[in-house]
Amino acid sequence: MIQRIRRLALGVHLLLWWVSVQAQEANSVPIVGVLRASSPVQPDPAMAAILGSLRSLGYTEGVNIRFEQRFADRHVERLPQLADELVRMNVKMIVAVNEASLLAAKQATTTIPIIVIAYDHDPVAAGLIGSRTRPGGNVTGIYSRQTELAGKRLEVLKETLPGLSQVAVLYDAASRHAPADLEAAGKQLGLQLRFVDLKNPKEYAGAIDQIRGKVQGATLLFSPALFDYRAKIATLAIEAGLPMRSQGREFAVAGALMSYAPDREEVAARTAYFIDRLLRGAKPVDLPFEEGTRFKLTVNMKTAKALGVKIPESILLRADEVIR
Amino acid sequence: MRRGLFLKYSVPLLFLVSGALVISGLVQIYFSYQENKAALARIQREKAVIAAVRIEQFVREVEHQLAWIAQTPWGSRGVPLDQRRLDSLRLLRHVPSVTEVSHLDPSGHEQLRVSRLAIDVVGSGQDFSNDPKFKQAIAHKTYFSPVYFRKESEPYMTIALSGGGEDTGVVIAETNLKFIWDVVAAMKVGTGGYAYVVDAQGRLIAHPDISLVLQKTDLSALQQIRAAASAPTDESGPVHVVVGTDLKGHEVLSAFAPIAPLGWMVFVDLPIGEALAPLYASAWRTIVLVLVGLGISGIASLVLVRRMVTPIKVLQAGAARLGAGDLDQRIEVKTGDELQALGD
Repeated sequence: MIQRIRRLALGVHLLLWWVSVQAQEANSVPIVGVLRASSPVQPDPAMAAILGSLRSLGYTEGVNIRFEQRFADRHVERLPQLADELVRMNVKMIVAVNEASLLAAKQATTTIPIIVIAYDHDPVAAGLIGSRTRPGGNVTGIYSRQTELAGKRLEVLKETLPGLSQVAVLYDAASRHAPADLEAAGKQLGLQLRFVDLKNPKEYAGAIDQIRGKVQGATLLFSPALFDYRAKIATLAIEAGLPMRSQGREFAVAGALMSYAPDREEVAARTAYFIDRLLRGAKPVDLPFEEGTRFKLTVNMKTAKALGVKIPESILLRADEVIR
Repeated sequence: MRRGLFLKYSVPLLFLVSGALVISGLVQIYFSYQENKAALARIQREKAVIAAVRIEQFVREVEHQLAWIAQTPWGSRGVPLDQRRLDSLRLLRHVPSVTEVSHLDPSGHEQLRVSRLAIDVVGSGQDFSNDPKFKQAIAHKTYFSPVYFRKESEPYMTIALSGGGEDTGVVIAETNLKFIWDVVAAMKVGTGGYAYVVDAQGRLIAHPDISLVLQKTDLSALQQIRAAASAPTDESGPVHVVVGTDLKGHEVLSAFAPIAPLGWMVFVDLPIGEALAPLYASAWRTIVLVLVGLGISGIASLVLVRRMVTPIKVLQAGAARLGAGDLDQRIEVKTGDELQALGD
């Protein structure tokens, strides 16, 4: 009897020991926090691409790396709290998607490294970092060059619509685009721009209806809210007979005529590179701020057909993806 | 007299046997050091060659894609600018590393610039006739500019190609070199080794630590780079093993391969401690073997000398007795050799 109790005690002891070892191992897996202003999506191609790139560097989610994602569901004011939450979890670094997430992460910590991606402004001109070679502070990342591409985007639109002279610029206050870049590009291409503020989803229809017939094309500036309502906006634009181009591939998938956007695979590969280097002990200051070099043109032929737009050869030739 | 004979034979015998052992041990260590070094250098050079070939292919591909645009003539036999633009768009599509293509007419004036980022420019007429991009390309068919950094952080090189004909111009591609960084960063060399690329002047172009590249680090003073600059670039020749130093002054075993069209070199360095780790193990084995051999040979020589000296001692004692007049006795020596004959 005593023998049995002893054996049982030993068994329980071993079990407890095994559990504690497992718990320690789980704790030692580095956690990467991801802060996003948008809403969760399923499937999540951006995250899947980053995980894919990390796999090629020898990282497997749940084995030797763990991700904690926090979404603000477009409520930018929630970001600081979410950033604090990640800091309290003792994450090894924070991947901040978009400028709003970056600002919240910077508020939350000055020591945990921050990788900012989808950052739309020149980081030096915006005062984020002192130099690209040695960013300084705890921030490094990838500049998406969105503002720089303003001219290229208008050019692609003009090439697609030869009679284009009046262009609507659809934006909301969170777009934070530099209008000066757009104005200059518009002037260079001989286009008149008309800025249309899409504040409230309920007013989208009215705002787009107002420009019906007054412009021959539209360009949509990115914002988290406009991203979430992309399908609605694309449908409204088609109904208004308005060829609309946009910034992200998802917009073209949702029905915008075309998009010219940073290559997701490239962004994912560079993000994985930053994560790998930081996990291996590099300091953010030693990791130069990078910028996107590859951009993908996506054309939605269904929308083109619905609008009666003939896509010229020069556009089809450079299109990386054609949605039929 | 007894000790004299013993020492006289045992000491030289010991020296003879152990000397041979020690010398053979040292020779073995020396040759295995050389062979090990040569084998490692071969492996390292093969890695360097693989990286060099990949980088060369990358550059050749850009060159190849540019070549057929460059051959398009200008003037009356030429094609309209629209067609050139389509060709350029096709090029941008096929070669993701090229961000901008510009077309110079035979007089060196820019007629078209097509970019991924900026608005395309038609007929700027900008004069490049005195620019090395134009002059070097006309003179040597192909021109590779020094590596430069856009906005301090993006590595770029200008590749210019002339059509080679009277009515052809020059095509210029601004080429992003991050691909080369990726090739170098992906190289696995042992645990502490790494690959890097330097240009003809010894300036760092690619290194796993990108901040070193962006600081435009000059490596021309490093021993392995000086040695490579003067080494024959014949790949079939013997591997030149160089022990050089890294930027922190630690010794490294270094091998290189040239990237022919560019005059650049790929180096693969391995910390000497890691490179020679297997050698240290084998050196220890050799030392232990020599010590064991010394022990055995010492004992063996003692036994041998004793076997020789003992019957001599008996003979000596017998001879002394003979000398004292004791002629009846026999001298018992059972060695079965000349000494026994002497006793009998």
